[in-house]
Amino acid sequence: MSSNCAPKLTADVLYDCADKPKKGLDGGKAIIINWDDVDRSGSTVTAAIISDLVTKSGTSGFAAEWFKDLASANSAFAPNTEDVDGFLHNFLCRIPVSSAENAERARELSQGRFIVVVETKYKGALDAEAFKVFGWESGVKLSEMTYNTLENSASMLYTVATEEGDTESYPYNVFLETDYATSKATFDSAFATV
Amino acid sequence: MSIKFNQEKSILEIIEGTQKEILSNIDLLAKDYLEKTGKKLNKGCPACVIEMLLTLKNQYKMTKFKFKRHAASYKNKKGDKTTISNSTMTDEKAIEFLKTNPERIKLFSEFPKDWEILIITGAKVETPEEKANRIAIEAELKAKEDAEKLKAMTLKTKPVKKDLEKMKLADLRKAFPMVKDGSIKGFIAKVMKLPVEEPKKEEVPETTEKKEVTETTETTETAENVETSETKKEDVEADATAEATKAADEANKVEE
Repeated sequence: MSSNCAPKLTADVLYDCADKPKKGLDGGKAIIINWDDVDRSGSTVTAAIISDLVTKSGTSGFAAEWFKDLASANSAFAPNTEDVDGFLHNFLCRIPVSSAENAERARELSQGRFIVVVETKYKGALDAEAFKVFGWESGVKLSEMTYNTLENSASMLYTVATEEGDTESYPYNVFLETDYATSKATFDSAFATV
Repeated sequence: MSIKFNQEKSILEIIEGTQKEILSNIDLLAKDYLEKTGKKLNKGCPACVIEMLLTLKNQYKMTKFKFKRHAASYKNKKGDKTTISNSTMTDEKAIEFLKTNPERIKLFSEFPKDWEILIITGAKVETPEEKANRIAIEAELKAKEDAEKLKAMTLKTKPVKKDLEKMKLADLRKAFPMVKDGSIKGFIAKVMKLPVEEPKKEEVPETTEKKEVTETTETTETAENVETSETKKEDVEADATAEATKAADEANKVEE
C-alpha cells in the first residue's frame, strides 16, 4: 500500500502545567453559518488554522444560544475501509422554546448544511486557541432532533454532524484572526460581511 | 407623549441611582428592556442584569439608529477589535458604520431621515425643536449652577469689619475661601459685600445706637424748641409788661 499521503509525526505532544486543559464551551452561544454563505476563495486556511473566515457579501452567520452548559461539540476519528479516513464532527445544542418562530428554525436546520464556530473555555496560550470550527471541509447536517413536552423543559434538542460518507481532516479547525480580540469581534458579529 | 417622557425620565433616574433603587425597580426596568430590545430579563442572572442596565443606558442616550435584528452585532471594518450592536449603539458609531458602506442602511430599522447628510458632514444637525430644547435645558442647568454658587457664597451671619481688620490675610482666606483678593483691604471689602442668610444681627446694636443718637438729637431739638419757646414767651411777656407800663404812664399823664 502506498504511503505517499501518510504524514509522519513531526513534533512532541507535551503536557505543560502552565497550559492546562479545560472542558466546556464559553459564552453561551455558537455561530452557525450556512454552507452556501461561506466565501472559500476569500477565506484563508493554513493547515488547521483558519486565519480569515469570510462570508459572502450581504450574508452572515446566526447565533445559536443556550443556557447553563447545555451545548457541546465533539469529534471522533472514523476509520473507513472504503472511504478516506478522517474525523466526524458533531455539535449538540437545543432550541430553548417551542415557539412558531423556532419551529421555522427547526425546519431550516433540517434542510441545510452548515459550519459551526464555537468558543471553548480552553483558550490556550495568548488566547490563540479559543475558537473552534466544525464542518469546515464537509459541512454538518442535522442528524437528530427531538421534542418532548415532558422532557428537557420542552426544549428541542438537536445534533448537527458530519454526514455519512464525508470526513474532516482535523478533529476541529482553529479560527484565529490576528489575535483573540479581533477574532472575538468577528465571532460576535457572526462573521457578517456588510 | 408627556406621560412617556416622564416614565423615561424616571427610568433614567433609576438606572443612575443606587443598587438598592435598581433592585427595587427591577420589574419596571425589565419591562422597559423587553419593549426596547425584545429580550426577556433573567432576574436571577447578575450578568444579564448588568447587560440590561448597559443596554438601557445606551438606549437613553437617545440614539436615533437601531438595527433590525435585536441581537445583531457588526464590525465596521475588517480587523476591528470592537463591534456595534443595539446595546452599544451611539449616533457617532452608526454614522461611522454607514460612512464605510452607506448600503448598510438596510440593516437598520430606525434611522434619521437626514442620515445621508450626517455621513457627509459627520456633524449633528439639530432641528429647530431640538435646538430650542437644548437651549432651554442649558439655561435651566446654568440657573441651577448659579443658584448653587450663590448658596456656597452666602454667609450665615454678617461679619464685623473691625474684627476682620484684626485678622491676618491667611486667616481671612481660611475663613472665607470663596473670596479672592491679594490685599487685606480689598479682601475685607469683598467679604462685607457677600450676601447674608440670616438677618444682620450686628446691625441691631448699630440700630439701637442710632436710635439713641436720634432720640438724643430729638430731645436736644425739643429742648432747644422749649428753650426757644420759653425765650419767645419771655419776650412776649416782656413786651406785655412794657406795654402795660406804657399804658400806665399815659394814664397817669392824663390824670395830671
